[in-house]
Amino acid sequence: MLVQDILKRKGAAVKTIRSADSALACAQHLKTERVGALVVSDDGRTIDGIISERDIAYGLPKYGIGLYDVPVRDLMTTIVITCDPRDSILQTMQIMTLRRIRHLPVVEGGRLVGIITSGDVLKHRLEEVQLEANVLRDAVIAGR
Amino acid sequence: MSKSVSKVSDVLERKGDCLSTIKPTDTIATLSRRLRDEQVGALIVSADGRGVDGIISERDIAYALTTHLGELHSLPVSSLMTKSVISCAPSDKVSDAVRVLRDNRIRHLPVTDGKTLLGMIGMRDLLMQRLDDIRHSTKKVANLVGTNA
Repeated sequence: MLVQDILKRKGAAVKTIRSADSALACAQHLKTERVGALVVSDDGRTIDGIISERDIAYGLPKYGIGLYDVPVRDLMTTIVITCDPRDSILQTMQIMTLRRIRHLPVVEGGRLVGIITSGDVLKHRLEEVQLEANVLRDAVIAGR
Repeated sequence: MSKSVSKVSDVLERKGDCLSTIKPTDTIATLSRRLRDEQVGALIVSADGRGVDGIISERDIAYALTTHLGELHSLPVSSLMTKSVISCAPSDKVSDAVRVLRDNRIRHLPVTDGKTLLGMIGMRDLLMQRLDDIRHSTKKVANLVGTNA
């Protein structure tokens, strides 16, 4: 099972935000789009960073009452770990758990083509395991 | 019979004893500092450290910024926490816990035995458990193939 299989189902749409937008605008986007993170991109194609609910929460001790006005570029993660559509789901699971991240932008030929989350990965694994269990059960029954 | 289905108790066991709670009267500033320092995405809200009064996450902080702006950091945890907490039992199957997370679009589940709080499991813990299960079943299949060959 590959990353592209997840993308096929959930689509290639990625919500982006500009680096000059405020934390307030970012929080509003996260809330209305019901996503946990946004890719930061000024041209909508290349990745400048990634910003999540976590980055906003962590910004509070640092910026206090002024947090809402802080630009996304000061809160975002700039070293973005990405994956390839042909990476295996297992690989992405390992990256997510080891790095403690929940969102992996999918990049192909330098272009942003999607994003997968820990929830997507977990859901896929669950379905796969159920399928494996069914196949094994059928094999056991057939072998009797 | 070998144990083939992972339970929530297995996840808690591998995670170790690390139950962390925050008081409803603590401020959002304290909460955000603790989330960062303890590297967790959510904390269980408990006045006495045993019962579950609510749960509060990074998401609640981010969403609240849209309405509370500069007042956010001084608000009490109780004003933003989710009060109707969805929890699970140690005997629940991991696959069922995953389904509850997905269906409710949440990432953390307190584990309770009746009324007593035992711990909390998150998406990350479940992913790690799944990785372990996969390794385990791969080894089992390899052994089976080996004995039959």
